[in-house]
Amino acid sequence: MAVCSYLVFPAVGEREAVHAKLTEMPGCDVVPSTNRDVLMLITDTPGRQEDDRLRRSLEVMPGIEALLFTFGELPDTRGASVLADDREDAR
Amino acid sequence: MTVLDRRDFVKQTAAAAAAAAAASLMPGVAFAREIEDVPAFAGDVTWNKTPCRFCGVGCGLLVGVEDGRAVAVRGDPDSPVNRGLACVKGYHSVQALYGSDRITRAQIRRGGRLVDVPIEEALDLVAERMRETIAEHGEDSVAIYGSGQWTIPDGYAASKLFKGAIGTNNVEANARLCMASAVTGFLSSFGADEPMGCYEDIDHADVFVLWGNNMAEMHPVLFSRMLDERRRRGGVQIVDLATRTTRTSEAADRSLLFAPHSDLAIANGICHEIVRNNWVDRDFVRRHVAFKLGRTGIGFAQDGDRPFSEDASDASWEEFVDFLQDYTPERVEQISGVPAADVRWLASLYGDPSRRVMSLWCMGVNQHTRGTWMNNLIYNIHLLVGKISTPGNSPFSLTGQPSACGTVREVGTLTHALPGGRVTNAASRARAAQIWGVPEDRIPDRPTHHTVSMFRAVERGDIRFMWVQVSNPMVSLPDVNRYRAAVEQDDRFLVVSDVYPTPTTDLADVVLPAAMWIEREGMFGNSERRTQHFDRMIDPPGDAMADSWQLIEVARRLGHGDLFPDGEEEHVRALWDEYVQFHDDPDHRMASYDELRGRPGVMWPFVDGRETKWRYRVESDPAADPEYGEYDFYGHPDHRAWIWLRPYEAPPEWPDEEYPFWLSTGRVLEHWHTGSMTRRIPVLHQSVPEAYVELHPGDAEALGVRDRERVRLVSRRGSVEMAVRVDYRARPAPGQVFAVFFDEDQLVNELTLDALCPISAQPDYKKCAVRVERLS
Repeated sequence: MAVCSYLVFPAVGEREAVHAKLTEMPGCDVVPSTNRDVLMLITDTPGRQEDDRLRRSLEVMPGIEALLFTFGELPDTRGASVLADDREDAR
Repeated sequence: MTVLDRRDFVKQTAAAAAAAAAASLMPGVAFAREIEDVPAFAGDVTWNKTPCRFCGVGCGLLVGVEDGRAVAVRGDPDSPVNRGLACVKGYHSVQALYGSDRITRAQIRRGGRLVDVPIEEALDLVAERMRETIAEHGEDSVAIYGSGQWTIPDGYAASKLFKGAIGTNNVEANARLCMASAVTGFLSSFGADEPMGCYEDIDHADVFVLWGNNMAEMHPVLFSRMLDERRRRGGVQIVDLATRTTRTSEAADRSLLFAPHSDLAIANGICHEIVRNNWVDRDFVRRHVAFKLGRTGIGFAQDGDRPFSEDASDASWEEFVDFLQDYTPERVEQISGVPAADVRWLASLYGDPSRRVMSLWCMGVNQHTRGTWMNNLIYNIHLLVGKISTPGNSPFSLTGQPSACGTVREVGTLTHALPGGRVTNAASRARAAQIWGVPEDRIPDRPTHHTVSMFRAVERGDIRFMWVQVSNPMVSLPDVNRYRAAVEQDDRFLVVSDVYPTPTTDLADVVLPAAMWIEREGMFGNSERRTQHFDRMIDPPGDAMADSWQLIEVARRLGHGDLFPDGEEEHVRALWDEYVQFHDDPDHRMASYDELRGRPGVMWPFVDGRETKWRYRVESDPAADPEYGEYDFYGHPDHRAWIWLRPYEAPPEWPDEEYPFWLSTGRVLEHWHTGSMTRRIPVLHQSVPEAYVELHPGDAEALGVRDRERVRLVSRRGSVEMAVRVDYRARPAPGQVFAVFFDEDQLVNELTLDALCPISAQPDYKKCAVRVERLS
């Protein structure tokens, strides 16, 4: 599992639209602020790949001015072998 | 504990972390659902504080460790830097520890190949080759090249070994490539390095002027604090002054594009308008400012140029006003492309006495053949209107590396520097000799080589042995083809301490496995004079060892063991306790080891248990003497800040018929520096797997290339092929291209120019001429 939390800052006038879009996304639990233009987002995905995909979709979501990470428990901290393989091939 | 229980617990912890960050960033914030306050230190995970491993902002993180592995990260809500927030690199930082190709064993080159050896054997060889090289070619034939990612104890051990024990000033660091102009800017304007303000200025400023600084990607946490201030308070404005349209431009209230290198004219134009409209704080200027003329036509520190020496003379107010007559808004518009009306508008922001103004800059200003001058000019603006050293009035030079300030600038791991002093200063040498326990004449009284000069010395054979730690110069040096060939010569010996294979380790004769970040104890110093301690939280892999301890092991083999601590576990504390003796003055006193361990960083000067947030103002700086009035710019002997008359001068290379485009280089949010760590983090690597070059859509159309097609970039120094991106994240102005430098397989620094700011010796990575060739 991968659990993360973020603060989501919508652009001016986009708060409701962003809230609605996030609420519809699987794995997303949204808690809006009652007195500020900020949303708390807690994500819960089965693994790292799903977590990566979700984050990438958040990063390009229209209407979000800033997405700030606050917590993450990583399902697996082993790093990439892709670059290592590429370097080995190149040499 | 069941799986379901654990998941619920982790989710509650995640929500509590977000709530804590929100409360810290926005006091009084309330949420639609009550968030339970889960103890952060509960469960099987042990949490410890650390500054982030990556950029110079110095965000406080809490790293969770379980069964000897780092498994979780949260922003530290107690950190005044980030208040519980972190960016995408901070979140993924611990994954950089676990790349599958970590260097875990020492390696020696045999028969052209690097082979694993016991680390004792490698350290023996390093010491043996150093001793032989010194015996044959002298002390100045050996050198060490580190970085702003050295911890403070690493840099201190390196300086002491090379300057104090061996007796050479061949000590440099890659911060020369990113921060040197900031240092010379501070020294020439104020006589003392590092910002007078702090991040708390963000909470007070009404206007933020970003000088060539894409903060949304490069300093996202600080940028989010600015955005929040704009949301929270009416009338806050963010102005983006840049050469390309970025995510920062999109979030800014105004985005003004200027021609490369023309920021010199814009800054002088702002001063022109401040004077013309009588917005000068005359009382502040009269009491606290002096005017200085320096040399002009100073060249670019290229091969054969003599080392720069300033020839400062006093100037009068009238001379300054006369100097500014060349920078009317109309003239500035001709040079920069910024409309005259906008130059006037910018000046009015600085000139309005009711607005507090913060200027922020980083590589755009520093990586500039007139980088020192640009730093001076921004200070000139703030000094003219007296907007300095008070909350929200702050010219703020940001850094790019976690300890560029703490290690390179404060320890002084540069050829001309000593901890808290200069090699040319007899008193500095005497103090160093006394604290280090070495003869005073052991420390040479002349600097040797700045970074680029050091690699030119390797090329000539003046330097035969080089030890590189925490840096990847075979990706980051300008005109890198030239310096790769220099290092590859048969009779040069290269030692590299690193955590992953890089193009620099590829050339090494010896590779030493380094412990990374929280695998060892250390301290970093960030952009706001904040020193932050971190403990060893996990074991380093294999034979990996802290850089500081590698240096001490070699020192011992060279017969200098008596100058360094005996025990590995205690050596960081011992080095810190010794180092702080260099800063035992009210203008730079540092916190004790125990203070650092117990707090989320401490800002210096730290006097009588209090941090100094704003320097030079008597009210807030214990080193400021009220004899000089409300402010005391004590770095200069006249206790004044200096306004320099610095003109616009043309860059060394312009686009022409053969090379019609300006090339600028830089980073992206996901990758840090040469990518040797962030490219081992799967999501970051997959997000931006390779380098690219941005083109303006009009230029792309004229060249007949589409998004993601490959092109060849050619400069007078080399060529490289890259994918084109059009309107991907940013848009360069017509006639300009922007390329990222993190990709070791597409080295944009084969194109860049090794022309330097002659005062700081910092290269200009932001401007050279290229052509773009379509690949059919």
